[in-house]
Amino acid sequence: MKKNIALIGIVLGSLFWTQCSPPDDDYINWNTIELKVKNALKIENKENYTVGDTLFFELNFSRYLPEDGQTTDLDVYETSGVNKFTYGFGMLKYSSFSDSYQGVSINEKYLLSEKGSVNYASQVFTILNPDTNIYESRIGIILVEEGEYQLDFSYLTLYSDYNPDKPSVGIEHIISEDLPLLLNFRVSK
Amino acid sequence: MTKPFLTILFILSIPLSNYAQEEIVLQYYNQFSSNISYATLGSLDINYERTISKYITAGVGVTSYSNSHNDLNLEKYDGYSDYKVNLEINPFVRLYVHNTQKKSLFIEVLGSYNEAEVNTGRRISRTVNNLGYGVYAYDYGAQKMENIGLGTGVGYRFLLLKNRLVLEAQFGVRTNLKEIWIYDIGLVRTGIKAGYRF
Repeated sequence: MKKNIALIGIVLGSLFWTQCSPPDDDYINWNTIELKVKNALKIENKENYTVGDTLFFELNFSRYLPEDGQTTDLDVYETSGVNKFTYGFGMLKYSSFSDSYQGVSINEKYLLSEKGSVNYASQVFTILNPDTNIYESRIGIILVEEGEYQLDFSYLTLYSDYNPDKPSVGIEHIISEDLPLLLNFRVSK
Repeated sequence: MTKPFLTILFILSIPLSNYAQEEIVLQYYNQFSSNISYATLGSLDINYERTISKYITAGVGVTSYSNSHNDLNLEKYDGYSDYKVNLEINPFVRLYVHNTQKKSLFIEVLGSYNEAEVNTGRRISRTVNNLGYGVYAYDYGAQKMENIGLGTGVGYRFLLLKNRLVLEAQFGVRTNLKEIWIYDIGLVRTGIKAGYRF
């Protein structure tokens, strides 16, 4: 009888422990809503600057954006639950050594944010104005070195801040053909 | 010669007669019990057990699981979603290793009918708000289902107060056959039970 009990116990125990490991219980299906916005970026490019001048650019877009395949505009704020969208920018400076434009890191103290905010990584945050329902950013770069520069906004996408309870929104910025993709300017003493 | 032989025979018969006196007598046929461990979680569990023979009993248990109990996530569906059982009925058969009238180790085979809810995961849907603008939001759905299953358990039963009071500890598992196979096993009929025999 005891042998039978032991055998039954072994069978039951192996039955219990041979189940496969289940997938991670924390798996989350990320969803990002993809939209497009056209010509939201405005750059005050005078093409020629003096050291100490400030070059401004701004990117503003409505809280309500059209969506492909839908008859109603999408409320981006209510969907994402966040009042900030982020995008990056890059500035390049011509180098005679390489005869090409090289990326330039900008110290935070040379960046101004009249609307929205910007950090040391050249990451801009557009912030929703509740009065106008416009996500706004207006950033200034204080030009402290002479040289030839480029601002490249040809591939620009904005992303909503992370919210675990709501879908993310990604907005691709499209520039129309009559606007330049690369902006060249010169800074002189 | 005969007298000593009979004397020895008489002496030897004493332990044998004791053994004979230890032959099992079925005393109480019926038993009601309830899982105390489940009660601490707010679940209601009632079992009826009928003695069939010296070693075999059969019965049925009904359990209504509380939300607190389900929050322990003791069971999965298809490997990952939480399987929250609301009601379960378990017919069972027990084999008592020693016998049904003494404290004994037992092995149980059980069936199951259970009603449960399964989270269908996070889905996204688009609606139009009061101002006429579209809004996407996550939807956490749940699906109700009924399943039948098989399981097994092992435990030990103590008999107290002239074999009237029952105290037992059991560990049991069950898998559902209708929707999912042996891949997912849930913990059932586990804990400390108290009962009364009559």
